[in-house]
Amino acid sequence: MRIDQKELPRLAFWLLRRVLPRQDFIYLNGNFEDIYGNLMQTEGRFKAGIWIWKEILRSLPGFLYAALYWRMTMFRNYFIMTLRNIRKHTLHSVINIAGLSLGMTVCILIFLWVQNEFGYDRFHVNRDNLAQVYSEMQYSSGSSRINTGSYFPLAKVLKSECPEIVDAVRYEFVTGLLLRHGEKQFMNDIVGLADPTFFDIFSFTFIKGSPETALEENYSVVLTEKMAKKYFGNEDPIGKTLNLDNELDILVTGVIEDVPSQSSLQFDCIAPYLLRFAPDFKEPEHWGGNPLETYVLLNENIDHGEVEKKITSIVEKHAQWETAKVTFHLHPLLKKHMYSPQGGGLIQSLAIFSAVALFVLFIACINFMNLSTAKAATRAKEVGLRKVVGARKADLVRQFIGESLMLSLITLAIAIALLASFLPVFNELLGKQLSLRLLFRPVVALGFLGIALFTGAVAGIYPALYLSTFQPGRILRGLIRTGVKSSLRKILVVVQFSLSIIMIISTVVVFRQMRYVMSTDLGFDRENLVVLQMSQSTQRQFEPLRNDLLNHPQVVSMTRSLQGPWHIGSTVSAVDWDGKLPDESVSMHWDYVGYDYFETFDMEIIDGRAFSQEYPTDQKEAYIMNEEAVKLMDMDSPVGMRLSVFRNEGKIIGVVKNFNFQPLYHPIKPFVFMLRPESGSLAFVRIRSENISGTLEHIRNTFTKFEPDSVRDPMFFNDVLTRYIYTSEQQTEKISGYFTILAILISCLGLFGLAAFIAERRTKEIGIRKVVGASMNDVVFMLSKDFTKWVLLSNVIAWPVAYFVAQKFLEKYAFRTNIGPEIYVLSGLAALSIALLTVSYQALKAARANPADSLRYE
Amino acid sequence: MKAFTKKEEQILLAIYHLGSEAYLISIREKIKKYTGKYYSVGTIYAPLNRLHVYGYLTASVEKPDASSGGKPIKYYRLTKKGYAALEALKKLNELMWEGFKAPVFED
Repeated sequence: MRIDQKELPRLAFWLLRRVLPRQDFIYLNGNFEDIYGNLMQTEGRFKAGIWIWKEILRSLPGFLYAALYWRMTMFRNYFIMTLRNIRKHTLHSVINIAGLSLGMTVCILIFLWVQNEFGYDRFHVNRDNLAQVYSEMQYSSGSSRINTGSYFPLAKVLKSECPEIVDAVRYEFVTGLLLRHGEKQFMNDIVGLADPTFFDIFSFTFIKGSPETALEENYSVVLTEKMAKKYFGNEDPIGKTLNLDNELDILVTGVIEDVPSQSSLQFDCIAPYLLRFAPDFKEPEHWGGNPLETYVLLNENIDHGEVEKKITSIVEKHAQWETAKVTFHLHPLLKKHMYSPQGGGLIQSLAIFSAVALFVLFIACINFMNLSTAKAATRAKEVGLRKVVGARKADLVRQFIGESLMLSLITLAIAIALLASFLPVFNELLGKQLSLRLLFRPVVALGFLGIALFTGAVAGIYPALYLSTFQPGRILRGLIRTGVKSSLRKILVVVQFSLSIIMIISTVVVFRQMRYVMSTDLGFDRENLVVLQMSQSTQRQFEPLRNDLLNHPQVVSMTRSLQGPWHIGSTVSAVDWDGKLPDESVSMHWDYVGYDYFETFDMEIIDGRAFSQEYPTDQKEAYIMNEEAVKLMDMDSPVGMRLSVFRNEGKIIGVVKNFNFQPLYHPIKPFVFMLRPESGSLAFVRIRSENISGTLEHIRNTFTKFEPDSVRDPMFFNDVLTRYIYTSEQQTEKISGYFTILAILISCLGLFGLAAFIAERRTKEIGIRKVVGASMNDVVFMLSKDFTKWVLLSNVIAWPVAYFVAQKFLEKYAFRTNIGPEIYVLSGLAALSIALLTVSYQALKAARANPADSLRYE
Repeated sequence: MKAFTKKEEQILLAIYHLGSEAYLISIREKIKKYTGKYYSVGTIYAPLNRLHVYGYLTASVEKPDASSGGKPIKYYRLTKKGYAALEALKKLNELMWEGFKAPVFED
């Protein structure tokens, strides 16, 4: 029945066109039109309309089934093709999968780490309204200093005078105290000291005792579960006492759950802050800086800027700062772990490592793209045939992206397996407890699936688009020599090697700087210098202890001081001398030291003399300055000049050569030594280099003699530096070392695959060259030449970037190692030789092949 | 031989009976005449297509003429494999039905 197209219901047939199977569209559509036409003539337009809609709805399942059936068939074919290709090109696939899974492993590791670091302090109920108060001092010289150390009266004043502040507590932690209960005693617990409302504003969970009253008593302590177990076993610790440093007995009033590892406040127990002033509990009223921290709980939705101004003006009323202008700032608790108030902080290393991890993944993706396009030639015939039998471009794109997605999913599975085996190593490196459990959270799991699919798509999109553009006629007639000259591939190799070289150079720079830090002349002799922490009772017996130790033939000398010359942060502004300008505000670093200090450290006195027992007045009125201080005071002959420090009049008796008393980030600053032979908890012992372990044993035993039931561990000066001062550098050095190895490994994997491919492509050419007289060397040279060119080009690109990175890293050091051009050249050469080694295996293999075989290979 | 669904069996038989006149609509009509059951175009198409793909049927497209309203029509015929399949089906059925006799119920 002929029916006019215009009479057909448009929507229904539009829908039909969507759902009808493509291959039989014309006939089926014709059938529908026929029946519709007949019905319209016999039954009328309305009934025909109802029929067609009913028919479409009832047909839908059938058509969908037919369509899906064909999709599934094609999918099965793609799947088989993928597996066949993996098997056929084993080397190529192994390289791809190994490289990508290494890259992904690194990325997931770093993700877990970043996730962990960002989770700090989130368990506090008041997390959004908690902040640490820190101060900034501005000197008349224009310099300024940020102090996180706070002031004794600050918390009390803020609580009572600033309405926006709900509560303020002081917090300080002390290490190396001897704690004892009965037989059990340990020194390695971190004792936190905090004001009684500490547990009201911070959310630590109480198991026993109550947060409101736990710290009310002056001689009380709240233990973590772990510590309670350590000292009391299974007994109930509440109401029992702990002995602190052989001095005080404190009563256990509460037990809390262990401090979460993601807390920036870490302690094993908390005692009332006032315990610091036992036994008379007189709080100092002065506004001098001390190593305590002040935390405030703010009202909801308070503008930090306003409160900061208010705090500054409140404190100005109380404290009469003479020498410097002090402003106060708030550092939100949630930022405390990641950002340091002085600028920088952990966030910087995290950003660097994340970038590096992405680099490594990027390199692996480049490999994937590179090898896939290289392989395009061998797939060209398949593409041509598929096109001939009716595949459209979209089908081919789908096929190749699908293949790459499948590879990336395999990769993800391998990456997770690798991760599970590397995680313990990484945890040890970072001192963290990262766990794979995080990966099972739906959001994270989906995220990683997403990353894997994204990687697969990115890595597969170029080959997919490239392969699908081949014209079947030309391929099948053999007219297309697929992309051997592809310049993109060269660019990818160059990018990859540039990144690797940058990483090599950066690692070498970090390594060199660390060697420099650990071995440069600090102004004193750090070899064979042993450091010990002394308890209160040992401090009182210092002289007999010292005499005892000095009897040992291997002990040269011994001294004590208040602070260790690895990080002396305390400064004094109350300094006066003849000739000081009236409005000149200065600050000098200072330390209290015992006799023999300069002898033990082997510091050079360049003018005057060291402190000596022959001059009893040294104890009260003698000062020794460093050269920098002399320069500051602008004196020609400082010895014998008047000087007052802390408003204590005295005379300069000597000048010591400049030495580093802070990490090498800081330049040497003015310094003044004062003699206090009866104070200072640090002991320094200079020993001879023979029989060191015997000497250490002797030192340990002697300390135990003076302080029964305790074990003090002597540490070498450099160990103190690595353990407490340059920890983040240590970490950076190790991690970037691993990353560099990974990056080179992945780059080489890629190069290896590419070289294999190129050698294979040129088999015939090499055969002919050999037949007409080329030697093996000629062939190897010919094959290596291109790669050498690319790696050399990478060097040229990498050097300026690496220089910039190195400068950025070294910037924070006032004392830095020399990074000469030789480091760049050597790193470049290293990369080149690794690349050539990689290529030469393939080149040799190709060159050795018998030309008879290679020419017959088709 | 692969087992056929009831619908596939019906389609094969309908095509056999229709001879040279078997196309989607006529197959549908034929089945309706036998079984009284009305199938939509889509529900016939899926098994028909599958039988075609597995080689039980060949298809030929007839040039449009006036009776079909100018639309090309796809005619299906049984192949050798198709006949063999029907043959086997028949044998199977006869084997299974052999000696069948319903007992007489007295009620």
